[in-house]
Amino acid sequence: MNNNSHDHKNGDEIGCLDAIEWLYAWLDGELDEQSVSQLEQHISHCRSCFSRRQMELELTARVEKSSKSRAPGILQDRLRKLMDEF
Amino acid sequence: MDALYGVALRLTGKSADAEDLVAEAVTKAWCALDSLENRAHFRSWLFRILRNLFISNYRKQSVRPVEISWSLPAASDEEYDICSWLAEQPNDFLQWWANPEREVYNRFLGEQIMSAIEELPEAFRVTVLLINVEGLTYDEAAEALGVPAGTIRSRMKRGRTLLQKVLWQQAQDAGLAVQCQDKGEPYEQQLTRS
Repeated sequence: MNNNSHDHKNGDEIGCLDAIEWLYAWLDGELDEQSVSQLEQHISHCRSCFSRRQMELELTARVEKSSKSRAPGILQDRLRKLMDEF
Repeated sequence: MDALYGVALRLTGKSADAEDLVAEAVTKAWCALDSLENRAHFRSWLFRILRNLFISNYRKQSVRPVEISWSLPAASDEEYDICSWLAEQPNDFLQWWANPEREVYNRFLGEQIMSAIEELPEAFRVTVLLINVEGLTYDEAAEALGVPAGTIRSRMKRGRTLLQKVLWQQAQDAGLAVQCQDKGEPYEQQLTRS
């Protein structure tokens, strides 16, 4: 387990608290490249954060897979008719 | 259109209402298109119209199941920091996830995840759907929901925690999960130990 610091702009090693914060930003596509690299470095040798990353990745994928909906054809027809009225 | 319908369905809980809501939102957006200053914001603008219409026209008659009242810290979204989040974490869930028995739970999870999402409070459910399912950025979701980007970040963190709590509870109710016998050091203590 590593010490936690909050300023890592120079590429130094991050701790678990920062890793978790950054993990969520990464999952949501909100983490910059340099931070991604630092996060990966931390996860490569931290079993706790590695486990959390795997769990969150799988859970996020399952949420996405389970929640995708397709608009019914009847709605698409309805919208086409609406647009025709304008 | 699938994305709009998907969010509308999660908001209303009823396919017919979701179709009406999408139709109204698209009509309203079409009529107000000239008022949209930056076309790059079209997607979040459309989601915002949808959500505002839901709040004004559909929320009272929504057929959504009653949301579970998960206890949340009193702190505002912006004040919800990593320490508060760690205190809420269902660590048994994470520990059990790494257990070989998880394969059994995986099958259960496939069936239960939708109902777990449905049980999330609306603010968290919609935020998770917009970000994780529809792929909006924090800024786009913030614009769609009319809240600061920091609130979106916080809601994502809390939404994930709540989802894990719901899933863990469901697994226990189904007799599929038992408390870990050898928990070792709680995760938050591991983190705060330097």
